[in-house]
Amino acid sequence: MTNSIQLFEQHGLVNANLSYSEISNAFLSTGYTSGAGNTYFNSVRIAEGILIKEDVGIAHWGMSFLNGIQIYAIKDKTLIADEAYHSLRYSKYTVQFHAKILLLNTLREAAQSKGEQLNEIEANRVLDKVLNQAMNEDQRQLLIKQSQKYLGA
Amino acid sequence: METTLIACPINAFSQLKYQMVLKHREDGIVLNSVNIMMGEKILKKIRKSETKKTFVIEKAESIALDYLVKNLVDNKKPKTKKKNTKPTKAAKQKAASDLMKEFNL
Repeated sequence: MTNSIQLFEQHGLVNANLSYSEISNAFLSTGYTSGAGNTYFNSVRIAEGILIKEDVGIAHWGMSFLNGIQIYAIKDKTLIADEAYHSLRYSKYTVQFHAKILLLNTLREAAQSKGEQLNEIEANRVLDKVLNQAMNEDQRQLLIKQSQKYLGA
Repeated sequence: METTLIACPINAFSQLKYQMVLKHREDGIVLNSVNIMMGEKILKKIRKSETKKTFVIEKAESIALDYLVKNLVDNKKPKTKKKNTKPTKAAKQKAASDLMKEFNL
């Protein structure tokens, strides 16, 4: 698993020391705490063909916020969607909901650029499946599978 | 000659201030922005879109402090590598197209 993380790092898909958290089923970066007592860190999840990086902040009074999402295409090692949020309470359902909106918009734009129209029903079905996988399947297995498939592990 | 370091008394930097701008709505008072100021000059306007109906005054101080710590004091945050810069529109569209193929869309 460590080798797979290093591969993602070498390809510029992640840039921090990540460690797997069983509780969140995600790879977490080292957090840092500001002088005001707020803690910031990244949570990284992998699904079929994509990597989702969440910017998470834990306020000094204990509430967690989703400060941003970045989605990378693993095969092309490219950032395909990103958004910053303000005062958005963190939950994995919030991440899933907003990641789906971002991905749908990205796929719509890609289809439009080719003069095509996105099959919305199919796209919704596929994205639900992919994002459910990101949230619920063992991230350690997905990391290994995806690095073998796209990064030549 | 021996060198001696002398720690002088600590002085507060009196010119650095913050100002709250509130929005009075039908359902209550909410925080609109926090201005970080040097004397009378606004250095930074931090806009906020509070959804809470009642405004907590300590929140403005926390926002101002967070900004100052992040920009002036806190150097503990690890520097991010330059690798993850924004891709060109064409690169993004190619990656998204490849993803569509992967998803059979």
